[in-house]
Amino acid sequence: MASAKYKISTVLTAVSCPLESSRMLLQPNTKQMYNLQYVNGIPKRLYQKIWFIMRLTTVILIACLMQVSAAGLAQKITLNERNAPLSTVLKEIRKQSGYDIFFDGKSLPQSQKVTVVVNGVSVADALDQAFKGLSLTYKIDGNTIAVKQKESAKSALEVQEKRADVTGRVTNSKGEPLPGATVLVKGSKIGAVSESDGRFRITGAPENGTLIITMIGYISKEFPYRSGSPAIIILTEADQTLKEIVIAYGTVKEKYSTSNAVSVSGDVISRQAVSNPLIALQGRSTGLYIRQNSGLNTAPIDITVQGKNSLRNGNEPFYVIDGVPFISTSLGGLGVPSVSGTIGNSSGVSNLNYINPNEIESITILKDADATAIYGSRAANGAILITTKKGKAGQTRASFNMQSGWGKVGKFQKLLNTDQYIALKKEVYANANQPLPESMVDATGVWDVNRNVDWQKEILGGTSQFQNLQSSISGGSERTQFLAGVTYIRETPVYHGDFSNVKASVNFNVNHASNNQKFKFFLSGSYLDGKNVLPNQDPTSDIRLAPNFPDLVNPDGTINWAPVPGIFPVQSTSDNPAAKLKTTYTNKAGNLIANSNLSYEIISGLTLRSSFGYNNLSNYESSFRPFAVISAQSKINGVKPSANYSTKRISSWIAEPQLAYSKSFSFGNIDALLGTTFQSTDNYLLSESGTNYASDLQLGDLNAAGTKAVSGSVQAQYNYAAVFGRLNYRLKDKYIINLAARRDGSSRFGSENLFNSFYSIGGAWIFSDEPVMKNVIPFLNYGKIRASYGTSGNDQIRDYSFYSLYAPPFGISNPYLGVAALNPTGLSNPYLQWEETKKLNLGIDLGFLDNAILFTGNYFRNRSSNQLLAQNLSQVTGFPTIDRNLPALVQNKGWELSVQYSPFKKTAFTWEGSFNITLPENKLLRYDGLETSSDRYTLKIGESISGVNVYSYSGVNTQTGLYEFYTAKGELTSNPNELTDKFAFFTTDPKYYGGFNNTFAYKRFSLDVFFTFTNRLVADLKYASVPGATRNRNDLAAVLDYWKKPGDMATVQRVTVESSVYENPYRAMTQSDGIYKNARYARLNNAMLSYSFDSELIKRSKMSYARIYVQGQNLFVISNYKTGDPEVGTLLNIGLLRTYSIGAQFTF
Amino acid sequence: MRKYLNQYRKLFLGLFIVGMFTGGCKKFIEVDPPVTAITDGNVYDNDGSAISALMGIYTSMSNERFSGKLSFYSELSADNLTLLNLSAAEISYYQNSLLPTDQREPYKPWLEIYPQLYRVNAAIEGLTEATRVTSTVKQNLLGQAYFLRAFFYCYLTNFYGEVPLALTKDYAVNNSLTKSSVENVYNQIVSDLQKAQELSSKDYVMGDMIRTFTAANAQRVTPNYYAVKALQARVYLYQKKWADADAAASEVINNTSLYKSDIPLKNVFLKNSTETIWGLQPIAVNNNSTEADFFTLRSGDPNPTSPMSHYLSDDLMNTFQTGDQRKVQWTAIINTNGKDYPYAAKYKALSNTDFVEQSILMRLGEQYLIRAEARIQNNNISSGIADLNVLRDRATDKNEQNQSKRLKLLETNLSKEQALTALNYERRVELFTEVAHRWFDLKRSGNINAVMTPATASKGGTWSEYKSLYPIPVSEIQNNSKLTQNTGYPN
Repeated sequence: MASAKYKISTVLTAVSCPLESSRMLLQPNTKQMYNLQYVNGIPKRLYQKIWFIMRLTTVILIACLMQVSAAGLAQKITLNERNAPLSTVLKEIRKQSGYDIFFDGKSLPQSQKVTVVVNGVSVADALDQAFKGLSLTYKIDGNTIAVKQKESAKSALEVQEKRADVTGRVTNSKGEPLPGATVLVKGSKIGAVSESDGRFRITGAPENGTLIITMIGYISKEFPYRSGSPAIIILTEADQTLKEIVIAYGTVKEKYSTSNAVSVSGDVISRQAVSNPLIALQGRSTGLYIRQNSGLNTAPIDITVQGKNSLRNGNEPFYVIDGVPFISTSLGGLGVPSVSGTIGNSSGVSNLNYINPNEIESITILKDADATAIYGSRAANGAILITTKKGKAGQTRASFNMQSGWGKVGKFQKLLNTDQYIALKKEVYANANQPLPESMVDATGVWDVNRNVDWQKEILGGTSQFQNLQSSISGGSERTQFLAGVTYIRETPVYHGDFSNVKASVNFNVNHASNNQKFKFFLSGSYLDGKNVLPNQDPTSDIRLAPNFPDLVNPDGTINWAPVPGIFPVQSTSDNPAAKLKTTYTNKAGNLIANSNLSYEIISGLTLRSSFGYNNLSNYESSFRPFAVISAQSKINGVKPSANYSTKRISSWIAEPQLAYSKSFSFGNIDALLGTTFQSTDNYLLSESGTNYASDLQLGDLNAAGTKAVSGSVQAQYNYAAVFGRLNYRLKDKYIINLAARRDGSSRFGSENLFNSFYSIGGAWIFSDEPVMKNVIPFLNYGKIRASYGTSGNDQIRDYSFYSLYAPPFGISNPYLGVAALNPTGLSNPYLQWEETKKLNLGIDLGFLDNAILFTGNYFRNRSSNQLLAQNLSQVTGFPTIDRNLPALVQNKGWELSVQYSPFKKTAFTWEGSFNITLPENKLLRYDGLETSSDRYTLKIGESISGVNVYSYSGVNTQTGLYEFYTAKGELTSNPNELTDKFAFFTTDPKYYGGFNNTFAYKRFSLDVFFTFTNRLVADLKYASVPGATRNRNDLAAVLDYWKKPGDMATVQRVTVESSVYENPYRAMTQSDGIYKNARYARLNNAMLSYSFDSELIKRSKMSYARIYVQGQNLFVISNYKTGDPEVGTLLNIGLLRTYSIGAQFTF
Repeated sequence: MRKYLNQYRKLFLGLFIVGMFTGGCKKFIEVDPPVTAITDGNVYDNDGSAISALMGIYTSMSNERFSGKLSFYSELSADNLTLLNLSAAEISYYQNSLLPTDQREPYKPWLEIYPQLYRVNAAIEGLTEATRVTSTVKQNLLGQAYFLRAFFYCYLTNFYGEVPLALTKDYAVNNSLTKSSVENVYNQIVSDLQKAQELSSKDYVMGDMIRTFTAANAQRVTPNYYAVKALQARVYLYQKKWADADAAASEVINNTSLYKSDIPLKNVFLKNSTETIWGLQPIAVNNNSTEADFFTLRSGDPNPTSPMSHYLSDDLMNTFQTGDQRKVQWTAIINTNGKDYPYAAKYKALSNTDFVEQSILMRLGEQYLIRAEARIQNNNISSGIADLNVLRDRATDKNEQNQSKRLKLLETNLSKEQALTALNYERRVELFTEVAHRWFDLKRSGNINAVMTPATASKGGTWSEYKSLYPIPVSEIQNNSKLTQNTGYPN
């Protein structure tokens, strides 16, 4: 009802204020004015006049009565007309006065009957009387009377009757066409969508009126028009503050948001040459810490939002793709291993790898309770919302993007060369007063002492390739839009061999709205097919092979199993990495994500909607050990090829019926949401192994195995239901309050605690909009303070953990009395419940100088309690522990600061940039019974939960040459006591981290430079091995700084093979704070130079947009950490690759 | 007005649709357990899984080498073994220097038996309440469960003295139990055995817990009525209830269709021999007894730097009387580095050879010894000696023509003291390296200080009386503050 009123009033304004609008429009200082003049080439004053005349012509004056009375000008009028037609009355007035009367025949209601009884009055009085009660007015000019409609009361009827075509063009501030903008005639449903050249045509529009132009990412604009005059509309890009960001169950204008949420556009993600979209988020958001464990994009990555909340359970954020929750961790969580030895990390492949970065429109990171409480028990670790690209109305567009890249290992280690290597080997035996044993063939001269191979170049020296081909087609009308796309991504690692990670995906979506826009429908689907062939183990650790180790492969291509026949036949793959590269791991994946949305506006402002989502991620993993990797000796012993297989499937559906209400009242804006969630997830895993294959050719077929066994089986169901609501109230666009609540039930929890409630309260005050502020700080154009407090939960525990389960034991080949056995697997606790995190967030947003500088600051303090921990039990209970919610308290607090600046925005040269930094602190505040818990070795009250107790390192003793540590009593020893002397504590948590991005554009060139930086403790790899102690294993050149004689100040202790001398101090060293270095590193994460072609040029080739670019990923690292990649920080995994790519993008 | 009504109707419809979904919420999130496992709520809901759960107990006893460890470590504590490697973790058993805090000690019967008791208690609770398990099955399983509870507590109290008496699966109760007196523990054992006796089948049951084996083909791997009787006999003997012990043992001995002692010594430990009252079936193909793996010395053993560094003590070897075939048949000699080392060879088949032997937890020989002891103590000396002579007769080489080299039968007119001395000899040489008999015999005979003071000294340790009880692992006391350490041990 109110909406109907609104519509009427807009019609009124549209019709009543063209003049004012045009005057506003013609403010000489505005840019629009400039553009108008420029485009039309007409001087301003003339234009104004033409505009005025044109306006008059909309009231067509017809000289109805052209007769000039010869009777002279009688000034007094006498009339006695009762219920006579108006025209008759007017004729009589004309006759009596001798004035000419002009009126618009259409505007004059011919059938209108009036009653005028006057005697000897003026013309004006007579007219007044005649028009009394009518929406007509008149103007006497000389002896001419012009009659017209009262401006404010022109009937809608009239507007509708005059129809014209309105044409125009929408551009951005640089004059580039903006396709896909929605152009609507205000107060009507008539509109169009701009085409690829930015042009639009609206047919059947009123002759004059106002256009409303909207486009995502741009400030909506109202534009008064007259038919016949093309409307040139320049949209200015939305301020950061007015951009819509995706939040849970909806969107919000950033300006009115009360949350701590950061949105990253899909452009930023697809710009980087990485296949896992999460990696592209590194450094883009405050509070989001991402660390790659390996240079392989498929490997799992460490990701936390505002720190680790849970002592023992998952710290993964909650992922939602277009409203469908996505399970990010690879299956196998029930303690059953899938295929073992998976590359990069034992936990397998990150499932986010099965999301195509090119399909992403934006990613929002929700951090505080205000943003996450509505996700209840799942979002204590923050939520990451991925929104995919949707079709846009307008001319059908086809776009293509091609990218090719090449990568190399970013940094090689400095290893000992053969001379240094042999000298060190000889010295370690000499120092132990032992002769060099015959088996040390690397140093005895059996192997060529003049051979010097840098195994890094041999094993990791290859070039990786990256190809990304993408095409999409989109378009539609304002009622129906579609998008369909195809993507192919292929990347290869740097290892030699036929390895690759290939992903091909198709996606589509359709949007439709009914004629009256009340019913809306959305359907989207995407399917990704991936095939990942990688070595079963990362061969990186083998860069430590002796530098004079013989060729790995014989001239005939077989593996060299006998570098030194007779002395020690090489049998294990650890001795010859060529075998590792022939033990392959294949992962075939299919990921289907589908969702649909139905909504219906029941009454104005109230919408009933329901979303349905389905996700099915299936993996088929296999790992083969062919004949080629079985050593000659093992072959003699009868070892045959073997294989492991694992079939995994995670399928889940979700249904979320919701009622949404949104309305503006005189007392403010209200947005309310009420909804329910039903979600069900099925997990399935079956791992099998086959041994004794007769031939390599049959390795893919389990049936061909001589012996088969099941090594793991999981079938788990996770059901989840909830009711949630949100109420947002905004008063005068300045005071905002946001309340959210959710009641959750989850099958993961015990029968006594199936349900729990979560809530949040958030508020914001846009103080810059207070009139007083404009005077106090005139250069501050935007200022908002925010505060929120609330709760959310973490249910990342195993399914069924509250059940006391009986499961068959493994490895029983002769069942007892022929009966399969069942054994209890643990104690049940029906009171098991989610961990709860209480989050406090205080924030400030400031915009200076017309938002040329935008600053955002957040302080957060998250306290996680109710920690699910194992409580130690006496074994009289049958088991050593029981899972319980203990009141241990973990606190994450910190500061998040970010600045966006655009010092040059409106010139040919533009410069925009952003800088963000997060200063986190993680602390264990409380843990009852820590002293007796097995956690006592790794946790300490008041310290980070990812820390560890270590010895306190003092240095290398100048006399003994051994590492020395402080005992608890402050004495120095090289043999500290495990139980008493581990009093030091440290953590590898980052002290700070962030990103720094700058984009420079000049004319058609654009340069984007993005740095990430971190400060954290990283293990110094020179302590990763005992120098010279292991046969056929090299050491970093840094170990040469070892102690040689009394008085030496060294960083590495004396070298010897006598384990009784080196072992205890070395072991203590690896468990001390001595090996950890404070590493500060900044990485040029991404740099990109692009050129977009001249629009005239590309128009001739029927294109609307064309761009080419060169891009570099991980170009260099500035760091005080010298041994290896400070992000990966281990010699076991490959470091990050340096990748260069070129690409081109076309839109037709 | 009508228009408003229409709008409200739509609103109510919307709310109704949303509300409809919220119903049935609780039901939705209560998921069934996975097919890959069964819950304790329904494991005793049908014959199949109930039997599987009980078989799970035997399976894990077999899998965790219950019998071998029990035999080996208790013998190290006693005087039948010599250990060469004095830096092995086994040293603390050998030198009677067990500590509650020692993490290296490889065997703590407490930590092995209580988890089994949880399963037994869960079985008793589950089966008692079970309504859908076939009555015969339920009766057999329940009988076995009561037997097992008695069996485990018998070992616990003999190792540790006073122990907490866990009789339910409720962890909250069990984690705050105090220790029960030895008398109460025995009362519980007797009461459980009484129930087991009423429930158990006289014949050995098959895997379906309904059908039974014939005497000739019996798989003696689950306790039957006679196993209950045999354990009763042992318990009454330990309680010095001589007449009860006599009666219980007699029931076993008198069932000559199932149990016969007149078999060659070398056949005593074969699987399902007529000597066997209850044994543990190996659960891997071609596995045999765990005792064979623990006691058999292989080429190069005893190795002074490995755990396989033990051999039978001189004291035991010198105890064997002339002509006692148990020395010949049940021990063997290996020559390593020019020296002969004797080892227990009751079980001869190692793992990964054909399945011919299984660990025997209760056997007929012990029953003769129990009845002999009960009768001698009850001053029925001659019939006691007759029982001892049954075993001595079996240990005599009938082919030995030289009578002086033959093991002689005992005179039936011995004094009580002489008879008891003879009994002690018989118990030691009949039951050496078997399921803690020697260690418990030393304790209950009252001779332990006299025997162990010199024995421990010769092993390189010092004996104290408190060491006849093992220490309670310190973690148990940390996690249940109501438990107290056995006297003499530091906490």
